[in-house]
Amino acid sequence: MVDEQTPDEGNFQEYIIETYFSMVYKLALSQMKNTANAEDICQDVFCKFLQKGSEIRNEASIKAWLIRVTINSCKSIFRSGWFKKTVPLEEELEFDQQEKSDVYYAMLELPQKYRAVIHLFYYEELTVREIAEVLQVKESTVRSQLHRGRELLKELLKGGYEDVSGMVQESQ
Amino acid sequence: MFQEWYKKANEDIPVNELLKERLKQKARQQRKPALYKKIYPLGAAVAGLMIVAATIWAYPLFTQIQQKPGGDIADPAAIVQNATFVPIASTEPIPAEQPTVSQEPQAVSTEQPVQAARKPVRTQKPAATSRPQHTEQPAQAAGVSSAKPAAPADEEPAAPTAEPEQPGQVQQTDPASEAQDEQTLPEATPEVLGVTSDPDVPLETVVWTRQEYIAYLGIDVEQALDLPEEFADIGAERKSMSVYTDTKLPYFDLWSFKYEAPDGRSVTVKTTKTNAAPLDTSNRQIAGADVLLTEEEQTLTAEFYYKEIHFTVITTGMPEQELTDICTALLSA
Repeated sequence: MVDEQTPDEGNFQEYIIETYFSMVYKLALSQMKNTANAEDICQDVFCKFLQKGSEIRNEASIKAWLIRVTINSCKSIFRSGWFKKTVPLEEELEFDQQEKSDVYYAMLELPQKYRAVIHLFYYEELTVREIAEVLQVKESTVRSQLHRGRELLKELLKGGYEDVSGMVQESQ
Repeated sequence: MFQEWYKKANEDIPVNELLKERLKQKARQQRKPALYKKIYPLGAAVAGLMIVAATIWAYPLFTQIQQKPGGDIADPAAIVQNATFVPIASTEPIPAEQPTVSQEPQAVSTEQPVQAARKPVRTQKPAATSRPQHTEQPAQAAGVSSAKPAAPADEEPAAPTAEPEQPGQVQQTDPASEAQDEQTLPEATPEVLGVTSDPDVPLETVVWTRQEYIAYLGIDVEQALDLPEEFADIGAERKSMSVYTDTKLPYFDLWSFKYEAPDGRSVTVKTTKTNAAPLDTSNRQIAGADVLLTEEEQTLTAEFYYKEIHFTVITTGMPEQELTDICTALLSA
């Protein structure tokens, strides 16, 4: 529980922003594939948190709430007519090692629904059950999306990263 | 391997620290003192108690004001009695030095008392709204003069309730001098002063026939028009008029002579003497008179001032020449 350590509401909100800003930004970037849109999503999510989400005092619940709001914000942008009529700027994220670049851009090649579960599973290290709760879908759906995403990644990476399939069984 | 490289790749992605700081600053701005939530209801309660206490304390004072004998609030009738009333429609100030005019009554024919009194005898009249002030006109028949307030815009004047006075005893005043007289002569009665808010206003309602109005007007509009036979007379035969009880002159007059042909053409002649004044602008000269002619779709309107009468001729579905002929006929009457 966070409220025992942070009795002041303002400090608590700052703590949440400091702790989860990176998580929200990277999740949004994995979805939007564009830093500007990811920052917009980030700002939108934390403004919502300052307005409404600050009533939640449980940190685990806040983390789940932030992930859910981030995914929903991304979906709403995908559905917007403005986004459909525009072409996002091509951005090249710079990585110091080729392997990092390979796996990251391979992940970005996946369809949007697979990117969300892959990112939450491999980077946030959430379990299938947690992902299902956060995304409010069935666990079987998460497993199915993980499996298909993994298959696509294997094709994209040409079998260079064998643990992609193994992680699914281990987490279960 | 994949997870390791993917996590490393994400760790290498920089976040926008400026945006993060702004969000944290926004969170700090929302921070409120811890005591705020406790102080606010306490302060509200104290304020409420103070309001209740002040109300209880001040209640006897308000009661005393209401019960004070002879006070202005306790005696609203005194306010009404001390008030100065001026005509509502009077829009132009009248010089205060304008003297009060009083004329001796002259003999009125007993055979036609009403018509004799209705002859143009107006001597002074407050300015009509948005028109130049109509100045003194020479008396032609009966010499009784009467002060007239500015005519209201309504065609139907207010019904009078006053009892008639003795003919010829009305003293003519204007509103400005009246206001002064009320201060210097408090014993003067409203009837003497003329225009007051007193219910005994010297007006009465009478029903005039069209022939009576024509006699008052001095011009036989019906005869002057001489319209073709297909034009049927659809104008009113009688009309209620508010007239001064002493002079029998109308407080406000406006009569419409209406004629309509089966094919939709129509002629309407509106006349008034109480609201008559020379035109401010004109765009035609017909029979030596200034005429303002306006056109709107099928409707032509001509306004002119002739023999102290304001004419408004409205034709529908007729050419301008026919309207000019009608105006010429009226100006020759």
